[in-house]
Amino acid sequence: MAFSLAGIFAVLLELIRPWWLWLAILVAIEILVLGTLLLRRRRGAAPGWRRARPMALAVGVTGAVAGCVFALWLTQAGFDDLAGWLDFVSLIAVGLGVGVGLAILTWPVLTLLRTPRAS
Amino acid sequence: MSNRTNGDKACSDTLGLSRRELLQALGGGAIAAAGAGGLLLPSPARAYRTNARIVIAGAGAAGLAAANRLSRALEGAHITLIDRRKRHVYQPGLTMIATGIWQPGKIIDENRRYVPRNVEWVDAMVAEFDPDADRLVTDQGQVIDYDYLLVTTGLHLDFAAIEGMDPALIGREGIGCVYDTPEHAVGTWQMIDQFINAGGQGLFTRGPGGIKCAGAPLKVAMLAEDLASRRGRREALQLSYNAPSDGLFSQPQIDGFLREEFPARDIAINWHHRLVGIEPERRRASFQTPQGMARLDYDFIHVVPPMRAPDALGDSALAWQTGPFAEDGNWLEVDRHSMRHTRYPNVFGAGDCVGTPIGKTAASVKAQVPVAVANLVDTIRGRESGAAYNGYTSCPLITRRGRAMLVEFDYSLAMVPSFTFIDPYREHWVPWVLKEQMLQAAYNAMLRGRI
Repeated sequence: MAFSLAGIFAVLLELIRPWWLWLAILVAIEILVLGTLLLRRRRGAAPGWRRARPMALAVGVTGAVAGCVFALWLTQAGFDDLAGWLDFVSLIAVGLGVGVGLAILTWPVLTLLRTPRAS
Repeated sequence: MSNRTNGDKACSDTLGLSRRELLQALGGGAIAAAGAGGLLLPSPARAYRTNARIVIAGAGAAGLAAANRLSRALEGAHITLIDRRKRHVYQPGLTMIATGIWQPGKIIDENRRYVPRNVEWVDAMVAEFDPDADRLVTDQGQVIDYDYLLVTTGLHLDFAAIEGMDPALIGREGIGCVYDTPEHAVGTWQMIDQFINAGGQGLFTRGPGGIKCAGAPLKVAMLAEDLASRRGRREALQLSYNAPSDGLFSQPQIDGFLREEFPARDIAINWHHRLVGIEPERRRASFQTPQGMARLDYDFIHVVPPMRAPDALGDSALAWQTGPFAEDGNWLEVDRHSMRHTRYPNVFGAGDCVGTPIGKTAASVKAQVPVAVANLVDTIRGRESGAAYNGYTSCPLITRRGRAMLVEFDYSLAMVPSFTFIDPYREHWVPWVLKEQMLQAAYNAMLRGRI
């Protein structure tokens, strides 16, 4: 059975429906952080994006590993249940997704922590 | 009444958008203008104006999905949905509750969350269908006339066909059943849990003929076996699966797999064993076999009752009058492809109540409802109806906690995988993830008529 693009969007919408509030809060926090960074930049403080990058990468790598373990735990499965390349590739993809997502989300926050309030 | 043409697409995706139309929308910057969410919203400009009176009998998965699709496809139609049930149960999750994987709250929802605003919801059950007069009568005595009828009543679990069996026994005396309520699924889990800890004889049964989610009895047997193995209690159990016929699964390759899998896991198979009686106090079950009556003692039994159309439907002229679908369960008579009644052209059907050779599953509903709705709308518009159901059904066949096989097939019993990279003949973690994490979201999207 083929799923249309709109159908896939609809399923994703249903998947995140229980988490709408938390996602909205997360997005609001990110916007707030980015806005604060922009404000400080206008005040002459150079944002420490580059200095925060290694830490964000570390968070991403840790998140990727944790994501793999978490995905198995969340689905009440174990490593024994992985039965072929499809399962391994999927698990790694989930881990990478979690890692990249965490890195992207934490980078602005870490940058803010490394940016002075004003020059 | 307007008569706008709408292309020749009878039934494709969620929004009635063809791939070409979708690409045009993308190319025209429609998404940029309306936002990505706009793709998921109804498109009133495409709705067909009519004052037709449409009655949907039953607010289960098929009824709700149809109500949502019809309410978007038609403008000005008087759509009535008849059902007393306020609670909506995600039935594919009952197996997960009954085997201790999920908590019951996960599968309990409310129908009102899915009933469209422009649909009148009648708080009653259909007591009598009168298709010759284009009307029906509710159990409140209300007479409702219609121009078009969509029958989505679901089915009746015929526990009374098993002597001594009563649904109230589920969760007591070693009796379980995954087909009833979430509360009884919890009771089933308690019985399985106790059985594994105490040990003894476990009987797994399957109702004869057409039953909903025919994979569920197999899953319960395999999950119970798996759980016992994980707890180190497998040696304390003797398990048998009692099949009423000479097959385990309608799809031949999967049937072959199970015929090897069950013995390999020391689950005995008793062929042609149809459960006809139960003695809860003595914990003894009676099976009709070609050799006569067989009586088996049990410490746990998974009862799967015969299933049939609800009386109001089965006793009406809408039911098959002759042939296997009349004998099996008085199912609704429809053309297996168009989902249209073969004798009453203004009547359509979808879901568990229809008499088709395959599929009383949520996946079947997902495939049937768009066809039934498209053909109904085309009939209202006076157009040739061309949408066809190919018999698609699906069973995420859970073989153990953490693994499943994604089995999808059609009337020809040929595999029709949605995801070609998933081998339907192999146990994998990925189909388990689909079942455990994704399919309920897909189901809810289906209820909203989005997929």
